[in-house]
Amino acid sequence: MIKETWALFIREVKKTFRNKAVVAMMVVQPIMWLVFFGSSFSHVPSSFLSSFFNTTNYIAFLLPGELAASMIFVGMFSSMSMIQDKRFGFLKRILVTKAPKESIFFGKVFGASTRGLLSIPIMMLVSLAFGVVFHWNILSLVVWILGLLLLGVGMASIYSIITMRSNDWQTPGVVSNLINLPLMFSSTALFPSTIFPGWMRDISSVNPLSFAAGLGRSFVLNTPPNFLFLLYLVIFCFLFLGIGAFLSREWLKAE
Amino acid sequence: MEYSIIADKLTKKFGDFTADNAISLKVKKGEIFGILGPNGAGKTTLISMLTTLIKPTSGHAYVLGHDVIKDALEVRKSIGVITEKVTMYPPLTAEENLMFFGRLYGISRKELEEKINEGLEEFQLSKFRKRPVGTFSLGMKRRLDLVRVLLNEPKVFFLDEPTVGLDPITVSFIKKKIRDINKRGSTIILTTHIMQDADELSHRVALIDHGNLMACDTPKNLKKKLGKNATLENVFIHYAGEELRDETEKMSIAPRRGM
Ligand SMILES: Nc1ncnc2c1ncn2[C@@H]1O[C@H](COP(=O)(O)OP(=O)(O)OP(=O)(O)O)[C@@H](O)[C@H]1O
Ligand SMILES: [Mg+2]
Repeated sequence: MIKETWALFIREVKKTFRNKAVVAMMVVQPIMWLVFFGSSFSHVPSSFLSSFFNTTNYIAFLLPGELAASMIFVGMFSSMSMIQDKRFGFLKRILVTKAPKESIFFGKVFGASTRGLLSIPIMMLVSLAFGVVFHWNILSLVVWILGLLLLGVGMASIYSIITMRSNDWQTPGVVSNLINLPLMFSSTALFPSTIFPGWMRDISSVNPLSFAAGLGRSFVLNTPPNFLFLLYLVIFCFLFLGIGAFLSREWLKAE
Repeated sequence: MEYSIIADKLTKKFGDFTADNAISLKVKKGEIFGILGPNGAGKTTLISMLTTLIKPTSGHAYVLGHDVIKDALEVRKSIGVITEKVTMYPPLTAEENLMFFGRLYGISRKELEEKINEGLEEFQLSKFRKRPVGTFSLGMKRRLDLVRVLLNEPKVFFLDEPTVGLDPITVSFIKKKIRDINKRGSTIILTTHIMQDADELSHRVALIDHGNLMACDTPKNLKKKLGKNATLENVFIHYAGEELRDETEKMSIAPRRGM
């Protein structure tokens, strides 16, 4: 199973990186987010910023949140790629080889997550360019990246589970509106939960995005990382990865 | 065991619509077995069930003694499938595509490289090994598809309309290859709308119409029943009638999913 997963994963990555439009989008999109959204607070008095965001540079607050949010879009790539494979008949070809269905699921999930990881260095570079200062605590950095990876794999699993039985181009779009937007706005990715109403704060406190963003803020603000956050993401990731692997045996259809 | 395939009352329903209705047939080891029938007769559906792509609604089928439902993985290990649509990953080169599928078949790297060289040579594609498959003509893709399937040395080979859309030179090349592959010991199940091809290639043919098995015999015997000088085309029309197959009516009952 590992061999097959690897072959499928490599093919997924090659496919992504040979598509110039996709690569361009991967590079440009995070930049847009940081540049436009991040700059929208430029003229807010710094005392206001630091009272809400614990930093005078909104981009410094936004970076971890934005990276966490970009991991949920990873899920969308994964399900889009699944639909594509079905519509073009690729999945049929794979399903008549001895590759177990779990491998196909894993290949998609890891392939999409790898694609998501690329936004980490890009966004960090953009942040540096916008004057964010990092303290380069290696432990925090590693924990953060790990957290993002776990979040990406978990989200990609959720999406792949949803699209296993579908062959409709619309599904990923519909699902992403239903999942991504609420998930993004009910997390601490873009704003601190202190300004949320109570019900949203409740959602935020179990939202995996908040945990990944939290790990990032430890790195950016140079505070010790909260390993419980990481644990939460480990559970989140393996739970959905496990469910997906299990369901793929029955649900994964050729078209 | 002398049969490669045994189908026992194999049935597939899509909603209320019966695509294959209790089809029972046996394909002998080493046979080239043709499946004929009008558009929408249920040929592709039958092949999909035998190759584990879709689950039968009822009935059983065995490929080399393995149950297609319970031992799907065992079945997949020994079969090769070429479907109507040629599908390789367009951005990857011929070589990369073959590598990818070879790995899925579990072939070791070194062995794979040898097999790819041989296969590309045999199908006269060596020159194009580094070219993305997206740039290939249909004939080249179809040949590459055969190289791909042969990597796994399938004992049972399913070919769903392998010559559709190809020029006469490629068709005759592929027909020759089908015979070669068969001589090397593989059983071949093939569907086609070209009666002459079916006649030339098949040891036996099955005629399916509206999901029902109408006849199953050697082309020679089937023709003999209709009298001297009868062609396989006459046989086909004898069993299927001359009525055109309009799918719209059926589609309102069971809309076809997919493209
Ligand atoms: N997934 C599906 N959902 C609903 N109906 C389907 C599905 N797949 C096939 N059918 C229907 O089942 C019937 C048999 O289809 P099938 O593809 O097996 O025919 P075929 O004999 O291969 O035809 P052709 O010669 O045109 O390839 C058709 O009427 C088709 O519309
Ligand atoms: Mg067909």
